[in-house]
Amino acid sequence: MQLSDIDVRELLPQQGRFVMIESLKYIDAIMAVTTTRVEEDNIFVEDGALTEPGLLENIAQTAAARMGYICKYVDKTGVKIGVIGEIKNLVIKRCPCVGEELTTIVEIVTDIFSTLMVQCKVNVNGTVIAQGSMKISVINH
Amino acid sequence: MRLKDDFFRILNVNADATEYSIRLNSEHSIYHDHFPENPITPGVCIIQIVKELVADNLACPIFLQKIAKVRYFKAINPVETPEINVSLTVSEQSGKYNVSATVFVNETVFTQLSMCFAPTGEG
Repeated sequence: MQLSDIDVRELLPQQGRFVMIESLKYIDAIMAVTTTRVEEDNIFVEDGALTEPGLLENIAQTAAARMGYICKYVDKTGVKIGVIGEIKNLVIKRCPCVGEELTTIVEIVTDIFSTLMVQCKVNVNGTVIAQGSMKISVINH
Repeated sequence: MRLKDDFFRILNVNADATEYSIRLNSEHSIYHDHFPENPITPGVCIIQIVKELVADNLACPIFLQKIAKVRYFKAINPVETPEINVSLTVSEQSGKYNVSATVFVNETVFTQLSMCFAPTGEG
């Protein structure tokens, strides 16, 4: 199974217009990478740019896609709902414009007790536009 | 997407704009997708709500430059908890705005936020 064959919607609990990543490019024990082109019809696009909540959700969903991949293809269980537990020391340089492609990289710091802590970075054309750290927690329903 | 008067509306604000009570619109399309059959207020939307309250308060467009720390202690279900309170402290430093905010209902704290905004165009 190639990563490029996977529809990210299968890996995320978020659906419809709240999906903020386009494709999962790379995954291993310590990191995950997604790419996403900013589309005009994204709900968080305003005046031709993806606003802060869209950018932050893109980061969170990159981490969530990794969790979803492991649930679905490694543990063979259903995709669980994860929510942001904490965001820390996260700097945004600018909001990406419609048409630009985001490369979002999350590196796992810790992955214990249903909580994933990641260092994250969003690049556009090789330049970092946002970076910081985030915690994602799985909630049980 | 502007969330005010769509995703949420202001029910009440005190005289110095430091305490808001707001109502979440549990019928909003965001809640259909986040998550299907299980509406939870997206953490990023809580950040956006605070940003919009601060921008209206300052009467100028702002950009979120830095999140020092945002902690989500408890998820907000808009059906169970449609009305929430937001307390805000805004201080200006070298042309930027440091914002501390707490989202709560009575004794329950849902989210604590510490963020820095810059006026748009100077980011």
